[in-house]
Amino acid sequence: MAITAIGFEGSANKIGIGIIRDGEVLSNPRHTYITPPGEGFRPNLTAKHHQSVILDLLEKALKEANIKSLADIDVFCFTKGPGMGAPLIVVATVVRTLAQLYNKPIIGVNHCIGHIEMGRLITGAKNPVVLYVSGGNTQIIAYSEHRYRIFGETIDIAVGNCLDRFARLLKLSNDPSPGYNIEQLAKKGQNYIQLPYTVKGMDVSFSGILSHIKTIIVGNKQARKNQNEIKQHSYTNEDLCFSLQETLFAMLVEITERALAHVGSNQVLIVGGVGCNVRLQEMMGAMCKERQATVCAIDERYCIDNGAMIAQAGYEMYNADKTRKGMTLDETNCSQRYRTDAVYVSWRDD
Amino acid sequence: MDFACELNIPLLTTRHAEIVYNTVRIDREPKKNVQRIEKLNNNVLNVRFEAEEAKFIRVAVESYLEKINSILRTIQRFDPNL
Repeated sequence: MAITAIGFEGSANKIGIGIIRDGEVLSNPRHTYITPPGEGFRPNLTAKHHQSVILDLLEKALKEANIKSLADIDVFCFTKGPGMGAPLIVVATVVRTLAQLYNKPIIGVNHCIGHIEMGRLITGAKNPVVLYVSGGNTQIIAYSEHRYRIFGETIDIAVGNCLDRFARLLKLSNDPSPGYNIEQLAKKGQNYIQLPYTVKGMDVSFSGILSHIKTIIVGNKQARKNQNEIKQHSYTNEDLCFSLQETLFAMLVEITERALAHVGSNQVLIVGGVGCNVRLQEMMGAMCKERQATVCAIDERYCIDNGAMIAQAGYEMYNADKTRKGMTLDETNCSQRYRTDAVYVSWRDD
Repeated sequence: MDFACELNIPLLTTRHAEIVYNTVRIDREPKKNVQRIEKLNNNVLNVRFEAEEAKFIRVAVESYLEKINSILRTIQRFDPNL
């Protein structure tokens, strides 16, 4: 019996709805809330954006999947957490309503596990070390005995958050995403600027690097304003983007390599929005080549937050549950904090 | 608590009222400064907000009504029985 799952994702500024049938992605439309240059996205306005877009997006998802009615869907999945509170609740509210209207089981999915399961589905990687890097999360994950264990992570902000806030300082466009625009500028960088390098064992720290580069940028702006020739520097935005990427990504490659060595794995799976970055994929590839390991990278359709990844993880959870009941409504509450290792991975028996 | 606000929201049918009630009661108030108590009487949803300051209630009621609005729009567009 084929199982068709629909997944709703809205934990950050992207809202996506995806439909999957037995591992085949039938549709995966997404809409991004893009703020003006220099501005980040706030929970209340992001929630308003999702609320205004979600029902049209649902119709689009059904139409692209060639599905006439929600009655043809077997299980409704949505992001339970982690993420921003208001946007999460907006999406969960709609999904709870739909599940009751059609009397279908409902499953709350962990966002991080959504990324992992989509990565495993698309690349076919059996048991990789996972580097999950996005605007909200930075974790090194390895699977062991029914849990996705967190080997290492950021002790303050996510790497994507560091990049996004740096982009705001330079007033870079947020369209299609700040990270994409940093990547394009970095390609034209000529000078490498020494920045702090903060790996802490298995973990990483990014807020210090952000402070440091902020001092450079703001200091230069002040010097220009005061026409203080001595205090001005000749770094271009391209140089700053290039140097920041090289530093951040080298740190990520280091902790990934450490995990590979500990776990004895020879596969790296990169998931999350920052995983779209080709330079990061290149640097990871260079490290893996030295160890006879491989990098499994995915394209922006599945790297960036999307609905299909939630559908896929929900599908796995639902398929492994022989009662086919899904969660009780009380269990579908949203939580801003939701650790990756809090979920019992019932659908894997390795 | 010094301030309170009570809403009585009538729904079209008992089924709709149950759906709205079961959807909106799941998530707790994000801030601890507002208390929210919900009751379902047939097809009328009764909600009571209590807080120390009026502005806390205003914010809570505003976002609550937006949630109700969202549920009703979802029902209007996707209810198979309509």
